[in-house]
Amino acid sequence: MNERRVASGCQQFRDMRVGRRAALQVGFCGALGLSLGDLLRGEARALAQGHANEGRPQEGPAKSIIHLHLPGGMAQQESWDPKPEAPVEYRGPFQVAKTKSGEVFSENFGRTARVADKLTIVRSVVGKIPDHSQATFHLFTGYTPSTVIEYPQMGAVVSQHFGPRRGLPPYVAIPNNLAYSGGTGYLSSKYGAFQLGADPGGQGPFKVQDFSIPQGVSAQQFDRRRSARNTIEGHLRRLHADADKQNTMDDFYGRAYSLLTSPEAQRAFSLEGESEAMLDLYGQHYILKARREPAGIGKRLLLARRLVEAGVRFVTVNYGAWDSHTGLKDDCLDKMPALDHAVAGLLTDLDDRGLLDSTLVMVTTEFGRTPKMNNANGRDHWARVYSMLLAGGGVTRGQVYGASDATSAEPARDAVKLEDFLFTVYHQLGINADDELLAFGTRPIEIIRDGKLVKGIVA
Amino acid sequence: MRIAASIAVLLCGAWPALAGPMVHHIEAVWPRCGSRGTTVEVTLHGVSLEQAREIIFYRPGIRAIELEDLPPYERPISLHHSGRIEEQVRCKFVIAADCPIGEHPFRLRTATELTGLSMFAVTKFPTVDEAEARRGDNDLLAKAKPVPMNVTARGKMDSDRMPDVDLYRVSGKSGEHLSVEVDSVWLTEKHYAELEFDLMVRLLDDRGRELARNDDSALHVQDPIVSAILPRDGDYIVEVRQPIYRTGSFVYYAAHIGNHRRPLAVYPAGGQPGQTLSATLLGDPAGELPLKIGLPPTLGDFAYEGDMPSTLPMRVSAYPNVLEVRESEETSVASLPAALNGIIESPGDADVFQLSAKKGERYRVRVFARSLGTPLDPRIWIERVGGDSPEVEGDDATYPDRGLYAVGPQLQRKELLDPSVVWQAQHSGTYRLGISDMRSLGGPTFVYRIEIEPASDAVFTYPYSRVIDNVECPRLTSFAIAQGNRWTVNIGLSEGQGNQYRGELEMIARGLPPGVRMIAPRVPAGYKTIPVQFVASADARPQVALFEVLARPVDPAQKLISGSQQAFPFLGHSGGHAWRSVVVDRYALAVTEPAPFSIEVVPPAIPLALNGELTLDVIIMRRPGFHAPVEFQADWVPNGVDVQPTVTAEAGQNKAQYRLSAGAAAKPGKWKIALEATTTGGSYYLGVGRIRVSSAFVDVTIAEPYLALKNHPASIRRGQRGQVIWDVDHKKPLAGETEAVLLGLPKGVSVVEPAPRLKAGDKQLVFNIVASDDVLLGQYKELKCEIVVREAGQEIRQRTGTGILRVDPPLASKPQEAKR
Repeated sequence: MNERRVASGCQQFRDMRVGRRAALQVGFCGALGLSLGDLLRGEARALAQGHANEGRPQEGPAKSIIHLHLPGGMAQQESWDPKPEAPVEYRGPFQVAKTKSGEVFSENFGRTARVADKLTIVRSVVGKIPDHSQATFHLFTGYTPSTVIEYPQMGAVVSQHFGPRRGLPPYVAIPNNLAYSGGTGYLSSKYGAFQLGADPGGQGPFKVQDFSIPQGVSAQQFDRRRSARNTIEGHLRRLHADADKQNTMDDFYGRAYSLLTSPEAQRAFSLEGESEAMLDLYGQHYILKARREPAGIGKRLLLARRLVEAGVRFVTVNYGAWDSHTGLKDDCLDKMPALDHAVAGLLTDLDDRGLLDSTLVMVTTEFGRTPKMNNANGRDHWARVYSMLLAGGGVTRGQVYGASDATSAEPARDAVKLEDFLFTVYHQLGINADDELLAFGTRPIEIIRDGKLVKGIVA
Repeated sequence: MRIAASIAVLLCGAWPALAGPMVHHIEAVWPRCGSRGTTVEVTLHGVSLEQAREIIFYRPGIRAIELEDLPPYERPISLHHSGRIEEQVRCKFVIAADCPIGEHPFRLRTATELTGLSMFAVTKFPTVDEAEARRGDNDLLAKAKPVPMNVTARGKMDSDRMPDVDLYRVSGKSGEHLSVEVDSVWLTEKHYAELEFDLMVRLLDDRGRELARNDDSALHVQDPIVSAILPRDGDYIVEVRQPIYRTGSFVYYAAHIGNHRRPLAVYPAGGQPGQTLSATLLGDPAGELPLKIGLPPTLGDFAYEGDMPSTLPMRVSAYPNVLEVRESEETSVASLPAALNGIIESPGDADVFQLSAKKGERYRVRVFARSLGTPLDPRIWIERVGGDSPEVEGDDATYPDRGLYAVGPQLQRKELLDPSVVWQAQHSGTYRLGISDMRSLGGPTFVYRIEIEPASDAVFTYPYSRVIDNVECPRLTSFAIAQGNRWTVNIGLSEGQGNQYRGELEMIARGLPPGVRMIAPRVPAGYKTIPVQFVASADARPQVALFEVLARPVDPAQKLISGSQQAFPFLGHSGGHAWRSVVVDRYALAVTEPAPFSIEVVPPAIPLALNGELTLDVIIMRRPGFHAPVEFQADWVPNGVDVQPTVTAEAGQNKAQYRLSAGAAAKPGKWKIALEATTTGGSYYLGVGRIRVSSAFVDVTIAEPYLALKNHPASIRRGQRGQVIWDVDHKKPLAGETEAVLLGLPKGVSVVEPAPRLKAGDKQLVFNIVASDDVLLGQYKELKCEIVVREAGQEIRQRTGTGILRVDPPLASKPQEAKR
């Protein structure tokens, strides 16, 4: 049978999930059509186009970024901005957990509250559109969708700006690029995310597709396949005048194959060698009751840490479905313990390794949720004020920046437009988001339009 | 049909069940239809079907017997939006020889629940199953399944992996009709689906040459209907397929294949009760057929069957017909009320009726065309002869305008295309009523009927439920009352078109089973929902019955039309755009076997103050052996009152509390409130798999607040002490000392203990505060004060005032004198 497996959430969010699944179905080469060979080829071309000659752009305090996105719109009231003093219909079903400095998080984030001295919560983010697809695009690109221009994701901009480091792809998506989050936009597709196409936190064995000889194909067969490709490409070389290009192409596939057996890459793209204690630090045993599968967020974030440690510049991780129009309490109880554990574990681990100051951790969601509970024990979409988490990469430690009003309906203090939030993240990476990139037709477009640095967020 | 094979396929494709919101009781009924005068073995598939006791049908003609729980599925089947098939019940449907053909809504009563609505269909023809044992068995001309004439083929589109074509071979004679109609959208009981249910039919000769085809029709919308006169004796092929390939499972259909005439409209499309109507059947390939139709004695919709496998919609009205005079430009209407009948026979035509009215007379003018299944998309206008512009115009209507009070706005029904307007004559004199097609189309079956009758006061009831996709939500609308317990349902009230009654209403029930009574608070003017409680006595026999809830004016001298309605979508899409909806005019109420618990709310001895909170004490009375958690909440509160989310009394817990809050706009007075409680298994959102009870109503009084506070804007410097002062305006005398809590202070500013206490006569409330050295500078505008009053052993929390506190930097040194 082919009944579609669709989880809860509003119609639009369900449709988004279908989109994401569709991307998975077409495999690793899905949304962007990129394989590792394509990526490496793109990177080398970027170098040839100038980066190598001009020297690397100056990096900011954040050398890498781990972007954890919570699709669907996580409730700020049940996470970073509880309202224990609000009237009953606004307050929500949870108590609070206190941080060392006397701030309160929702009790769902007790572990994160204990490491609150490492992070900044921005409680006054202001989005534009309480619509999943448009808000997701806005968050990932800095722009609302346009029929005229396709804007690139932040990861693609970082990839274009800095290029690869230590031979690893600069931009990696765990497990895959999120539907409606855009792509490389007007930038070349070579700057797109390298999608794992596999979930390190899933039920089966974890294998990144390009790094694994396909199951059922023996090493000998694989070599034959490689030979076949060489033959075809050789033929193309003979047919086409641009022999250099073809040679380069061959080189990229060669590099991809070498990565296949490169111990460094194998290590970075796997969880091999991690101790039980480390897995426990990130929380490895949570099961999502609603889906009857492992939460997986701990292993995703652990892999993200390994990737940035190895040289990847930008890692996106997504987790859960947070569109809690109904049964918010059960949704939170199901998904938040693993999230809390993994985020606290990641920050602790990065700090212990001395990586936190050079790694910016960003926990986002496309919008928040309505101040008042609805009659189905849920909250609906709300973009007028919500919360995000930042840590490391030169972001102030131990701070709550901005505030929402008594019912989390509007910003009460230090409102942070989403563009300003993203501008500040770019700033920490060493990218001036006022700079313009060239779209095709030589049209210059600002990385972020009308954004400004939020000085209160950075140390 | 390949039910067994289908199940196997489903099982192979199953995945672990997901808990989610859209869990319905009955997800599949196999077979989908049966013949009059036969007994059919039927299985129901879904969740929470165990301990099946009884099935109730909304229409006469079918009895369900020999209900039997079958073993549950070893591997549940997951469907769209978390729907599941886990259990199955087998039974027999005994279909009477005079059972009405068409759809028969029904529900199953189990030991503890009354399921959501599901559907079964009755055909006048004998049935034969497609029985495509292997894919492709009947996909080619040579393999077409032979069937007799006048049969209903129960088939299935096996289109889950590749397109399917089902061919049937039937023998006919020269000059004979071959009429085929396929029920697919109309037949389904599936809750969510896509376009896979859109089928088409072709009639072919034995060499595959097409005689006729149909995809959609005005009469049956997405379901095809076609008829042809056969050119010679021989075999003919009926082909059923999807016009556009779309994957999908459970795509069952019934193809009615016969040699009957197949008219598409009847003219006139109605008459008076008991009348023998001279009418003409239109749209058959053999031409028009005059005949006499005996109309029933009851007013409203009437389905004319004739020798067809599906009916033609007609109307029965209390007033006489006026038929369009074709030869005349205008047809005179002798008097109102009247039913005007005509046909827009050719493109661009407009029919005009001349009628008289007196200034101030109010009429409801309701057009029936698309509602009757004719192709006309009508628009009407009424203008005074000699007037400048129409007094009223009508094109599309709303569902309430069409009398479909319970149908959600996103459901798709053809009735919306027919106008229905209230016309109040602005002058005394002669008027023209015109009707035409919006698209300037016309044809021989473009029949219309316009019923003009005095506008009446009318208020209708429906079970109030606003959930995703407009689906039936047993959590809110199921009338399942545990023996010796009670349950509360919010009843929605919808005004009929033209209603002018605005007074208080009381609710009455008709048809409740023995041992069940209804308690309904009086409905204040303007209220659109009201909680209605049903109480089953301890000796009420477990049973299920159909009943109505009606509204009537408190003043018996006032006249009001009322009725009950409930609507159910099928073939839904996310967002509630269902292809098909079923409307019933009675509710089903079941007395179920005793629940393992009941709840009681302790009547509050104190009022709920405006801007205040009130905590209700809840007692859970558990039967021996029942220790599971119980959830409870208030599903109805008066306007301006809010509630906390669902509260769970954990396993073994017998006492709990529940908070209400009143805003400033709540209306003071005494209100009846009940709490609804459920077990925690099954599905929360729709409530399938849960046992529900409610508390008795308790009176909650909403009262003026004790006091109002006015803030003196305050400031404080970092590292220093200060005060926040409120002026007190006493509204009611306080008994004793009262706690006061200052809310909204920024982090780093705190109240110096002891906090002040307030008593009768105090003019000011002063909080001493202290600021830390690192409190954020700025202005904080959301200071509030909460007063905690203890009265009669209970606690009233009242919030009042809005204050401002500014945090300033510390003074570095003595301030300089201002320069002159």
